Amino acid sequence: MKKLTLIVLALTFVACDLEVTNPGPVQDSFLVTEEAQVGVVNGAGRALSSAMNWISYTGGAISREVTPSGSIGSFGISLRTQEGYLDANETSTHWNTSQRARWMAESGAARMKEEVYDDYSSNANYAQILLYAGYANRLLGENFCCAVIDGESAQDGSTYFDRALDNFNEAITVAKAAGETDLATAAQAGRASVKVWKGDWSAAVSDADAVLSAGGDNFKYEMPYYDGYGIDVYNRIYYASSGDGPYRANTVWHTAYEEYSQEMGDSRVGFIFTEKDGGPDWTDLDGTTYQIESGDATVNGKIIPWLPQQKHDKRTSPIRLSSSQEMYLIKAENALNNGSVDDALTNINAVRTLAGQDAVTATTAAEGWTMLKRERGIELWLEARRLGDMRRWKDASAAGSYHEYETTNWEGSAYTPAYLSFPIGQSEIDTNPNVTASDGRPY
Amino acid sequence: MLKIIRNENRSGGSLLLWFTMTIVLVMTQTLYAQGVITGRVTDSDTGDPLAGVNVFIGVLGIGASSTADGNYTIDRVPEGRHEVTAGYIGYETSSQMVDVSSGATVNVDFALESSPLMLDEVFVTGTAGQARRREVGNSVGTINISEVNEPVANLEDMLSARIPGLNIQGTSGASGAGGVIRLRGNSSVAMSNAPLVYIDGVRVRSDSYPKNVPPTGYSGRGHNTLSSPLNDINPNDVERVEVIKGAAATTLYGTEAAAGVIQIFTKKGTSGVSGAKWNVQVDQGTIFLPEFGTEERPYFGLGPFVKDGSKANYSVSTTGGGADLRYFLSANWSDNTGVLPDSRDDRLNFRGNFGFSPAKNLQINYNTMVSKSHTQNPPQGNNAHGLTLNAYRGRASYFGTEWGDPMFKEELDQLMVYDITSEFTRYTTGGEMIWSPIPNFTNTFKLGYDRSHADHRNYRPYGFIRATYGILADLDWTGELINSEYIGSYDLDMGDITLDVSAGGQRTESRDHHITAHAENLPPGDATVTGGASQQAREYRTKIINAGYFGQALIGFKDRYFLTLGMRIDGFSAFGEEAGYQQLPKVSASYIISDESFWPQTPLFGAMKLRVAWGQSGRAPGAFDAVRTWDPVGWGGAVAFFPENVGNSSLGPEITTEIEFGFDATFLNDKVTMEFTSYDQTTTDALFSVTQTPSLGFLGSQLENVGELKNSGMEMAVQADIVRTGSFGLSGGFTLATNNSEVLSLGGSPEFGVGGGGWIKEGGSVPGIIGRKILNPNDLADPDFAKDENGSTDVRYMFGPNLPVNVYAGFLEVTLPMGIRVSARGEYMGGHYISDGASSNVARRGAYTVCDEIVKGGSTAYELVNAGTTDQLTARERAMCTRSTVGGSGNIFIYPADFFKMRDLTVTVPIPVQFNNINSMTLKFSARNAYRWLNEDFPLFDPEMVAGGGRVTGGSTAYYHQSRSISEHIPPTGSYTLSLRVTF
Repeated sequence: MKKLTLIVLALTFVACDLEVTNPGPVQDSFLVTEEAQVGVVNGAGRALSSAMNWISYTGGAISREVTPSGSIGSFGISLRTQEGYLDANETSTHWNTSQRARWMAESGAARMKEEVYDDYSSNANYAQILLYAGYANRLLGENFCCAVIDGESAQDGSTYFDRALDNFNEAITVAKAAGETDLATAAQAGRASVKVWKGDWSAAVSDADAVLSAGGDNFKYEMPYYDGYGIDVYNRIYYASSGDGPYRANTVWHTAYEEYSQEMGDSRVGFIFTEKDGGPDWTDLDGTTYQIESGDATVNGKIIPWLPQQKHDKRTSPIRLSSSQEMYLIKAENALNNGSVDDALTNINAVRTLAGQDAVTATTAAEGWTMLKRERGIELWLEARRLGDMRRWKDASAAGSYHEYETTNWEGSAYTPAYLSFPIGQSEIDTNPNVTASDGRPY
Repeated sequence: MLKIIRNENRSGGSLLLWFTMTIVLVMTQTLYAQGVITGRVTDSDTGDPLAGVNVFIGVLGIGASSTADGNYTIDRVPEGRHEVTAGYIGYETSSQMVDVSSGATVNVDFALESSPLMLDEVFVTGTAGQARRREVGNSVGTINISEVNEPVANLEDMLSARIPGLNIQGTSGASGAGGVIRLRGNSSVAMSNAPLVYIDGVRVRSDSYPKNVPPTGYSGRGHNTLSSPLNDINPNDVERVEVIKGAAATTLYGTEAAAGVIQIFTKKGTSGVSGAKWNVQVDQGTIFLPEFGTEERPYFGLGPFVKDGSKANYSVSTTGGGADLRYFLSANWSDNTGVLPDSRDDRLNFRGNFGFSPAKNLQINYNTMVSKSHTQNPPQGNNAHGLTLNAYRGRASYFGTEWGDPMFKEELDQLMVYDITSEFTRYTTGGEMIWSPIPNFTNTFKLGYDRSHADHRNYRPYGFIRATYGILADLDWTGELINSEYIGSYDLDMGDITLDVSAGGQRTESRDHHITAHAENLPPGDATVTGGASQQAREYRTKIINAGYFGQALIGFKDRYFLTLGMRIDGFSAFGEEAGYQQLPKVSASYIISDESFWPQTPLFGAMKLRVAWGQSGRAPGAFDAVRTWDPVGWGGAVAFFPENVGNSSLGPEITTEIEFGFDATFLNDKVTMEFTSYDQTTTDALFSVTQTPSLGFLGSQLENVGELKNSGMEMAVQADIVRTGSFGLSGGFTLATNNSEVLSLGGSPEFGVGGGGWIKEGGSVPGIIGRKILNPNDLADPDFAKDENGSTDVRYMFGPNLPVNVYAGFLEVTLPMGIRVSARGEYMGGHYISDGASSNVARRGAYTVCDEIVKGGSTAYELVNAGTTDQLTARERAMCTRSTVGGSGNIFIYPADFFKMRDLTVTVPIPVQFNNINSMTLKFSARNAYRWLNEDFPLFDPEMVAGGGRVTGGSTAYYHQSRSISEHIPPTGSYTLSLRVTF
């Protein structure tokens, strides 16, 4: 009996309580509590800022806001992208982060409405996450060819704008009910830009006027970026192109903005050029001579002038989502649509005045459109908007022209982006049985 | 900038061990004895004396080793009747009963019969309790220290190229870099394929130590090599290694053992000799880097930084004891410098093994190891801040300076202030208590604890060329394994029929926690994280419990027919709620056919054992894989959640089912021994990291039991005593091992990559290597790439397996007069492919030196491509020298990775000694990796310089080498070593 007892004790000794609770990750059940909603909202915000990072970074290279250079890995711009291609197998990260931003905001809003808040219709958290949902859908609509919602089949890209309008409409209502006037203004500014895409110009101008009325000339709503907590919360354009790192992944050299900035000294498209001691000279296509040195940006095994952009001059530089300046430019574009070049220039010059720049003139519609295209490029530089603008103007067969450096690459060869929108990511094609590779884009 | 020198304190936690050693040494002087057993051991056929035979009294745990003239003496034998046993490799074990009287000396001689198959050799790995070789139905690979001639630097070298099916591939020549061990290929895609490792019955860490890399930013900011915990073990402490290679044999180890089990037995105390027996060994040598690169660019631009390293190893051990207590104590210090600047590794190691016999039916063994090591390397691998990457890229480096430029070395020297150091501390202790309350009934209790600790420092000081204001990351990581086990065995002898029944339970608790501190914007000088203007911290803690019960019945008939039945019922804390307990059965049979009367009694045929085994084992998911979780990522100082893990409540282990059969035999008067095994294993419910649909929000992957994998192959080992005349002898042998893997089913999940060009698709290998295949590489034409089903260039063309299909090893030993021995061991691996990321990375930047060195008509390939006059270039040359071509999706730098390396060449010279008390003195000269052959289609680099790991995060405890690809590393080094060993 004694031996048997010992054996039983031994077996008990090694027997097992397999219950283990490990600290760290947040259990799913916690997300329906009111205490968790701040984390849910901030998660949606961080997701949107991450998506903005990727789209503004790569979209800026495709639309020649910067010249891609340096590494060709994750911090650089792929060779295909440098040649103007946005391939599904190279842009899954862009698709993934943008979809995550939309899903987190929309599903978070639905959870708040259905499981968390009885008073959701006047809840500030609910208003905030709706606002993120609206801007996430706008980001997708402006930059992606096609829409895929929650694992369903592919739809026309305008679906995102429909969802954005729903998000912004409800956000305005809830924010006002919650007394969050700034959120309401931000939602109205977002709705103005979406109305432009929907072709509802009168509603767009109405929203733009309301924003200018509420926020004056200094309204802006922007995504913050932070130092710490991982690369995806840094301002990626700064991080990948700055000298405080190995990549120097893009340069303002040989862009329309370099030309313009040198001519006008406009800080909105500022960059740094540092005179170097020693090193070979680089003679640009237009005869400009730069002195370069090892450690400058490199492309194709050659050292090219590294002129780092200064709009985003630190890791914590925010990226705007909406601003009074954009509202003026919406009004300017509406005026051009209505054939009023003078009204357009009035609004364009309002933006330039805010930037401390001299007024510009134009006499023909084509000149007016050229000015508008340039001014939107300058004002919204590196904010994930240029690619969408180019596609929208192509859709509308808008008049006017681009700067020559927007249509040639740094070697002087003709450059036309093969696509003006990101495709459905290969990651979606591989995992969503309702989506096929042929769900492509017109351009 | 000045290189910061810091003092290292390595005294650490060894004081306790030294104290223990001292106590034990004192104790051994007080032990008493009753009588003496002495005698001589000879070969029964030749009458020659046998040296090194273990003569012991098993119940008492005391014994002695025979000297060169075959004599042995066991002192201090308690009065009474004892069973004395003599055991020696290659001979049948022999036992005799002897009566010992107080103060008397009893003579017992042994004439051992040669038995190359060693059918009575006892195994404990893979069986409940223990079993003789004749009883075991699965193959068991063994290495005995007496068979290892060369002075091995670490345990991986000791295991390398000796056991068919055990494959060790190098990863880098960086100081302290560990290899990758596979037994019968990859049985898992998502989880670790590292075999479980036991030391003296204690489960210890088998996966690599975490990588030294900052917790944020690019995950390659370090030297990108991984250190192996296996190499914490002093190889001079090892007595024997047992290896079981697949699920047919590892069933009783449960749901973590599908990748096999390696059990290491360290030396035990021997008693009975007069006083303690000492062993001192000193190794000194030089380390060199095998050549690579091109003729014009030796070491591919790294040449100005390459130097010869040095190696030194000092080892001392002593063994002794008496009837009640036996001990083995050792200390080892190794100090090596690497082949690159600022590279070194050193290690201090202590071991104390003790055996007690407090009662006649009770035996206690207690073993402890402490080691402390330090490694330092310059930044390497795919690291833009690294030495090797920038050296290999020449003008496409982040300095943009061409090779040969006087500034080239000076500029890269700026990277050398990047300080990457690691301190590893290891403490492994465990004991077993064997209690036999009645005859034939044995209870074994085991307790073990293994603690691994890594202290990483990854420091780019203020002013560093690529991080002007400095970045510092400190990682403090601890992994613990706590295991306990009980086995009860009852042996029943019914004449022709024997029955051994065993049952027990086993519990293993794995704990892992790591804390990282990260700072940027540092002050000048030798900074700490505290001094950083921007600081971050990370913390991860996980605990996993695995526990199970097992039972086994071994039925024997006439000592030649054996049937083993076994079962383990296993639970695991990381299983999903619905997964429940797993039942893992096994069955095996063994048949000593040569004991039958019909077996031909001719010199051609000797002993033969037939065997077959079937069994199941598994691999469990990670700590959080079954649970739906959100990652508290934070945002701007506020709480924020990101979707992390979708969760899977039915998540369970992947189950590997294996059948193996084969034979062990001797031929030609037992001069030739052969082992052959054929195996076939299928892994069902294979865990795949199934990529989630992005539009559903969770961007990561979720482990799901969806896949089905297959591994099959054969293993053969042949050893022959070819010539033995007088003082001249020639022996040799070879091992063959094949492994063919296949993904049988993806279970509906999409194809996916596992990094480094590795790809998982149905019909492919585990993993296969994909890229773009040039169909006409040598034609003077544009490259014709293999096409996919749509007629487009196939960027996922499947080249073949990433793991070697064929691994062959051979050894030869020549014995010369005066006891001089010359031995050589070589290893071939082949049939596999590897993706060359290092070449691709530089070619994509238009700076591939090979294209500079291809000159046709006075122009380089690059010049011809740029001029559009490529008529004289082959398709391969056009592809790799055209930036837009090489830069597309799908690597074109994929090669057959076959290689042969002379792993070892050793000359052993016994030195005649006349000094009192010195038993032997031996001088050895050994060369490692002194010769290499590569497939003619393999350019520039070495198949054993591979990408090394990712960042360790919360849910995983290690990076799993699921595929191997060439990265910006250096090949494993070679060495020349002079070793002096003295025993007294």
